[in-house]
Amino acid sequence: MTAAEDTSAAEDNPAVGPVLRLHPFSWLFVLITRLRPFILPAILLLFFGQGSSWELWGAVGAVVLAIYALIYSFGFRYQIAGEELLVREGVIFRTERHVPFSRVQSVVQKRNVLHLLFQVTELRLESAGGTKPEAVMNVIPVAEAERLELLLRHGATTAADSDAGSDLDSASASATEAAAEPLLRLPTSEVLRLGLISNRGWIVVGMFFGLWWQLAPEDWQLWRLAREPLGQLFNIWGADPATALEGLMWLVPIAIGFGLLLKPLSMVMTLLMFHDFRLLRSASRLGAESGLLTRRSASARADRIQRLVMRAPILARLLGRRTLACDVAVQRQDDNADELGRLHWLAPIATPAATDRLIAELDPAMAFADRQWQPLHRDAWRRELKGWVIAALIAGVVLWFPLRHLTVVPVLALLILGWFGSRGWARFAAWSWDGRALSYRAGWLVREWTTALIANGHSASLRESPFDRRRGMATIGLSTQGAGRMLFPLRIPYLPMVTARQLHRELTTTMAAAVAGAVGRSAPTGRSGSRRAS
Amino acid sequence: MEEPELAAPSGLPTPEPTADPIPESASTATATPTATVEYRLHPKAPKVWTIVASIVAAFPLTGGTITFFALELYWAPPLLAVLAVVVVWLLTRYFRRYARTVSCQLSPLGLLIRRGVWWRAEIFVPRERVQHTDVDQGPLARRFGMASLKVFTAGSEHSQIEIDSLRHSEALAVRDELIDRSVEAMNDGPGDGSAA
Repeated sequence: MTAAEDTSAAEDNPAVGPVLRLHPFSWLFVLITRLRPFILPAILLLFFGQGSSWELWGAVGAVVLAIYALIYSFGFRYQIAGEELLVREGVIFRTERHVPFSRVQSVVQKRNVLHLLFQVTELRLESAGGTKPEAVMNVIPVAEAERLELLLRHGATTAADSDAGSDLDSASASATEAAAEPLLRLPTSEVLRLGLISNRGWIVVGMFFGLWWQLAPEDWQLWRLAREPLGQLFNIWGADPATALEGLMWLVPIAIGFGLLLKPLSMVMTLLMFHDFRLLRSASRLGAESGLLTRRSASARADRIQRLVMRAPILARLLGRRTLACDVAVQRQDDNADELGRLHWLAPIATPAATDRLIAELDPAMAFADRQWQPLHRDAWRRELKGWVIAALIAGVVLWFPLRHLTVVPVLALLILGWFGSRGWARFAAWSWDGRALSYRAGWLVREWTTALIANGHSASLRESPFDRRRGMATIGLSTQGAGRMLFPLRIPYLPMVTARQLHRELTTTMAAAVAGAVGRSAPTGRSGSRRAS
Repeated sequence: MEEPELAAPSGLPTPEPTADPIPESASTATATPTATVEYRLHPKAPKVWTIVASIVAAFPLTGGTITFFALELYWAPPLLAVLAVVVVWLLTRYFRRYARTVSCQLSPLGLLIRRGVWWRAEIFVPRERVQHTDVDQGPLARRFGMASLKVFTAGSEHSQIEIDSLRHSEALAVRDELIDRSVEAMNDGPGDGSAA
């Protein structure tokens, strides 16, 4: 029986639905997911390999995996029972898992060309705890996924029960689309601008060199090709200081030229990733979908947004654009590399006015505009300059050998750059605390902003290094859940000591009260129960 | 933030903060006016750390001595021994200073941990944000009646805060107090009971 028949059967009794299966072609997708890590090496072996016994073992493995995929996908069952989803899966060990809708923090859908062909999608449900998704449905029909997402949306807000029921009966994709008002939609021109700003071209370069490293025939190996130019470089190095300096100065236009060459690649990458980006909001959920060949969508409960991070690199500023991202409280930090694997981008690119409007619509308390920004310690720039001075010293020591007396040139250049850098950094750096949200902004060429509600804080810290103490400074930090390690942290350095003390005291008292209130209100965030049976 | 309200900072400018800036803020909060309890380290903590450091130092010391004897550099081992004694002595002094800076205040609001000689930190965790706690006791710690307390939060920073060498009874007291409160806070929900 197909999933479509089941949906019609479900209309009779919406509380406890019938037992549903995956799409009949699921085994194909399960197989592809399992085989993906091996596909590229297999192809490469086929073309470049010397015909070893590995091919045979590979083939045996593929057959075993295929059988596994078949059994797994035909054995997968799920059922909607009231306010929870019941999942039974597994080949040898059967797992029965109860997933209450209220626990699902994040819903992720993935569709590539093959999915589009079969009109199916991969659906992943995640909760706040744990390292594995609560349920992965690989794959179910698109309409069925829409129906489940709708259920999830309304499962959380039981008030709209009757409404949800009527929506469910229709279960049509278009109705869902209409219900969700797009908060942001990126036309292709914007996506191309994003490509211009971003450096995603490096991903391609990295992959290219990785492949080359693996595959190149003997006399095309990287180190062989690089030997001659490197030798030339060392010849220049060994020559008189003036020639060496000239060689060094050539590196600047070469680096810039390479960066420009990468931009078209970046644009292609962003087009693949962010084509037709849409930020949608319906009921309490916020979702983003994008992608050209592989269409991905991720959604999360709007109140699970822990922190906002806004960025404006120099190129974006020249184009009058910014980016806006958020942290969602899903504890899978290992997965951070996959920026589309969960709700992360609220606006991959937008005008300042658009980002301000977006934040105002999400939660006005988190707005960056109309804040009373306070400056850091007046000597903050000196502390920043120190980093540049140390860098200049190291450069001086390293470059002394080839450049001799001309070492002055790069060192001086770094110091001048550092002067402007640290002054500019400190001029823009500021913090703000209004009793509800703590914000911090800083940056010179890349300006960054971040803000978090105090009610989402998990700990507050005041730190003071010996260097801080010499100038009467301290650092204030607010730790939130799910903060990406690579993202701008909410940590305010170089605050005047007195201000930092008072701010810390206010943060602790306000946070204790706000957290007590917030925990009382929201649902517990534990993992749902599961049971195993052989 | 209102600048004129900048009250005189009540703790930090003096190098060794002994107690207090927090109680006054505690009184302004909405929570029940229970007293703030401050816990300090076990007085023997520096001694235990020194013993541990000496044991650790003994390994390279013996290794070095054997090597030097094998190389027939007979003047080196005594020098090494003197060096080791100096290092351990400096460490002892540091441990004593460090132990004095560690303070763990439990207030109705939450847990405030303060420590550090050169790099000082004050970390505050609201009661409701304590995910669970661990009390660990190694063989040496058990002998001296001390224990280490680990407090876990779900934040991405300070997700695990460890206070080493508290009195065992006090570590247990902090733990019990934290558990009681967090159970109270979520008495309606299915508390995850993982606090152990």
